[in-house]
Amino acid sequence: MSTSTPPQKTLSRIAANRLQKELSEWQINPPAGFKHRVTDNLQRWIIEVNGAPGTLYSCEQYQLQVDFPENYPMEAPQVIFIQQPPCHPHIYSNGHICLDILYDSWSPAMTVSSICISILSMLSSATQKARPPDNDRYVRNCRNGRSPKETRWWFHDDKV
Amino acid sequence: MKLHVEGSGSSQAMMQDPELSSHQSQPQQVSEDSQAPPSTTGADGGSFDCNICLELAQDPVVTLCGHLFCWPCLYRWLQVHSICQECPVCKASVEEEKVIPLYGRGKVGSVDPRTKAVPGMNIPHRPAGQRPDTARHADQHYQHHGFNFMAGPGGPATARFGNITLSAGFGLFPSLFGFQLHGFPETTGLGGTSGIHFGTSGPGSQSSHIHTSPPVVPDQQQEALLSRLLLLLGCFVIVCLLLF
Ligand SMILES: [Zn+2]
Ligand SMILES: [Zn+2]
Repeated sequence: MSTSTPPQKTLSRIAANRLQKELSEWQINPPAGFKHRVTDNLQRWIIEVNGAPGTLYSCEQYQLQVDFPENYPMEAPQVIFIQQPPCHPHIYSNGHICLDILYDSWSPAMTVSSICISILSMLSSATQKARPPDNDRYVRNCRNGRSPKETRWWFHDDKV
Repeated sequence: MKLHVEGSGSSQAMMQDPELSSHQSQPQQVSEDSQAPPSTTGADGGSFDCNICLELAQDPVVTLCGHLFCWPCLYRWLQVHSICQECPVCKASVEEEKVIPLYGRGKVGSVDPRTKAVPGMNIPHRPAGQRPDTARHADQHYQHHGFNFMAGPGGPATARFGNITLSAGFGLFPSLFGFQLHGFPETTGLGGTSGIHFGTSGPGSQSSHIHTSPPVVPDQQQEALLSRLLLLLGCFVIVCLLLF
């Protein structure tokens, strides 16, 4: 389980303000099925995910690690599963998640809360528990702790 | 590396497969829906919170799709971070110069970190509002004012003195125009459409006069001043004649 190196630059003031705001909104109204594990690190959130009842993942628990870049929310946070990632066609065994809103389709109007909802919805819509077909190759290429956000870059470069 | 191409390629394929795209549109709807409610979770309503920083909007602007942002927040997104210039909330395309500024009457001049937090990036002023012409009855008010002004002092002056009246009469007309030219720009200046305004909205000859006169304003004002002095001198003479 690579816990990929987080973006180490400290949060800008705008980012810190916005995260503080998100955190207090989360405390009032957390997304259903998620629990933020309280730490004093605003830049890295650890979130517990509970599989939705009636889905393949019901009664299972997973952990998300969310690392915020210096200029969040202009840039997407890095979101990965840690510990034992769920077995899902869009989740690699190293915890990386293939979900467009985390990369190309990110928008600064999204929040940690809306990301969580998207991820849960992705889990819930699975019809079979399986790894992505290219899992082994992908994971091998990510060995030295590469961020999934870089994956997107290779992808773009290679496509052009 | 090549292996990777395939890897990411297949993940792209998956994104385009209908099953996945349907599940991806789902969360997006959720996030759009949740965009209205999350602000209401705050005690203060929050309908005027920026969709990017989630605070009360600073230098608020609204996109044509109706989404509210701080101007600095939206500018940074459009300029630096967005791949194609789109609204962060609904992905409608956004043209920077077409956003609409909102002018409330809150306090002005408090320095907000959002306006200067990015070193080396100058955030310009918001685009100005697109102001339609001033409502018509306002013009007429100004013009009546003008006519009265002319009729008042102009009449008596012509009645009494041949010589002086003539110059006084000429003098008064420019001062009338001068007055109007001062009056109008105040009301039209904000919109930046003053030229069109003068051309189209004034009834008849009066407006065409005004339209052509701006270049000679300084001269006419001088003339007006001179003629007033003459008029004053004339009055003084009459008073002298009456008294002595
Ligand atoms: Zn803002
Ligand atoms: Zn929009």
